[in-house]
Amino acid sequence: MNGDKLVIALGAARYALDTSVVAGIVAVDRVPFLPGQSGFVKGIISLRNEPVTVIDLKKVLAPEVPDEGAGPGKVIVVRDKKRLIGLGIGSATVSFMWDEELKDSSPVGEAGRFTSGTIGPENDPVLIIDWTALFAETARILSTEKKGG
Amino acid sequence: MDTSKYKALYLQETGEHLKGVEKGLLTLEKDPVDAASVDALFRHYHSIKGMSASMGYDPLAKLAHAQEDLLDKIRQKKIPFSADIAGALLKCLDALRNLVARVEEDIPLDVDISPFVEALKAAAEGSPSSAPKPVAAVEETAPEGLKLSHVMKVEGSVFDDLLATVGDLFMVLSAFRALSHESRSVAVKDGIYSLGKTVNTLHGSILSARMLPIADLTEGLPRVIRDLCKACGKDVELKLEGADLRLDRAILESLGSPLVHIIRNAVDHGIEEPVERARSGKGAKGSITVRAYSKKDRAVIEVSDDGRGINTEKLKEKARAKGVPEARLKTMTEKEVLMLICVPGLSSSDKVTDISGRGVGMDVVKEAIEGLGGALEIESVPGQGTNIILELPLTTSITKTLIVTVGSEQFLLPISRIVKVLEVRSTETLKGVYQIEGADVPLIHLAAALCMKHAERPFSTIIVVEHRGESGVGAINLVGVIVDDFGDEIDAYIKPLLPPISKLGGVSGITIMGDGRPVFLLDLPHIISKCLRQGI
Repeated sequence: MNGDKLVIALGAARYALDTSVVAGIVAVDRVPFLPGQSGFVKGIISLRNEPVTVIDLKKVLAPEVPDEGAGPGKVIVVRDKKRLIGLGIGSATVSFMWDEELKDSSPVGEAGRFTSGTIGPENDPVLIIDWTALFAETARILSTEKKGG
Repeated sequence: MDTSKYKALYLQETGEHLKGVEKGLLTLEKDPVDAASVDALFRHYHSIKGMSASMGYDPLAKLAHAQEDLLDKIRQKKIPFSADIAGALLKCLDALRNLVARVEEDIPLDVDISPFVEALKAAAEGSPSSAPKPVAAVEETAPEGLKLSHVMKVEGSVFDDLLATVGDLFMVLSAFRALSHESRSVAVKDGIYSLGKTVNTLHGSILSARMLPIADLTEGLPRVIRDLCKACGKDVELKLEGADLRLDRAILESLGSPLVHIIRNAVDHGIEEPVERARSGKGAKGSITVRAYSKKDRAVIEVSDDGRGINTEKLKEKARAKGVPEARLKTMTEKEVLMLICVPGLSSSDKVTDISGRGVGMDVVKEAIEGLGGALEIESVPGQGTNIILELPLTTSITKTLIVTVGSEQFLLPISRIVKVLEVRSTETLKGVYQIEGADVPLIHLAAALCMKHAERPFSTIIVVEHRGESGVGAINLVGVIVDDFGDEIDAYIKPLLPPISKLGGVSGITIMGDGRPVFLLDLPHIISKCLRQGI
């Protein structure tokens, strides 16, 4: 897997997303409520007039990191042709890993529930976020139609 | 019969066939034995003849008929396709085009087409090539250059995309309006006012282009009834009234199955066998009337039959068997009992037929109508018939809504369901009911319904809404929805819910406000039914 990566530092670990799927990084004062929100679903925002469901990435990948609540923070909006979702990262810092740094580095290691392996140096690996798995789980959590949500 | 409303469709279809004729004739000139082209040409002429005759355009029908005859002889290999025939047919094609142009421009078709028919005959008999004598009325309008029809064929999805784009424009406009409130510049305010007017005009034009007459939907009903009657040995006459009422294409599309289901029920259960009708002093032929009319900004479609009506006692029996409490049944009004046929698995009919009678369907019909933002009601008189009333919005996408506030969150409620808004002391809501005009109206707390954290406030707002119940059982007329406050009434462009929130309960759409906040349109029937079930 090549291409530039957006890297998010969550607690002691670092996580990467392909920059080609990042539609934008939005700074929000608070994330408005989404009826039926539960688990790691944080709320809903908009980006360019599109509603974006926001999940709390810390709750999913780094539950040990203290919760920052619904206050100010950053949301990384990722999308492909069919899917759009916001990954709330609170005040976590982001950086980049460029393609040149990674060209000899293929993803290795086992996929997790929401990760698909690691890239980067062996002594400081970066976990690749499987955002499509996060999207699918979010859709499952929010399927409250028949449950009476 | 007034055929003028079908003129645009006629012009569009005929234009396509004329293009097909020209293409076919040119192909045949190159390959006179191309059987596929002969067949295709025959079909084109046949269609032009049929449509023109239906519309009363006799010269067009006769000229197309003469050409169809000639093609038939070629198809049956009685005569070969020759250069003379090609020439005559192409001349006749020009004449057809000119006649169609006269139709388009509303010029009378008082034209003598016999020279063209004679020329076709001569060409078929192999007589020396004789071009038809110019017919003044036809030749006068002959176009000198290439001409496009005034009528365009456009994919329906183009209008869907256009409407979605205007919806986005509405949201951008809303953002600009929010900015203009903060601006002191008169130029900015004027500019945004003009932009608003233009967007509204554009929206109106697109909506009008999307509107189709109900006739487009009901024209298939005579055949449906004919087949149903054949299947169950009944004789039913269909009457259509007000079929020129226009509705948004999206609504009409979703109305097809519910309408057929209602008609099927009427033929199968409503209309009696001829013998039973005779015993009741009715004519052997049953009658079903589909009547469409507008009521304020809504469309109403009534489907009534003169059959046996709905047996409410039988319905109650079935409801008892399904576990509906006796106490509940005793307090139901006649209208509420009738609505029991919309409960899954309930039908007043004893018979389960191939056509209907399993109690599967009216619940789906009701759901479909409510899904369109409409409502379904039933009226029935034993021995006299049943009337199913569908009330529908004329269009979708832009919905009149009221902004309500719970804590720091805002939601939208559809204005069409709101009866009144009351501001009361919160202590007055503690009993869970509020007296309105002498009746106890049940109250639900929106915060609790949506599982929101909520701080008590000294004053609350009760939004009194109509509620017909999700299943029809124990339908309640009014329900009070308790919120903290209410705000403006707005025309909201409601976007559909896409994954991952496409199956989110309690909401039916979303809009983006001028400041970028996403705000949900609440699905009140769903929320209220859930709350009443759970006693929230």
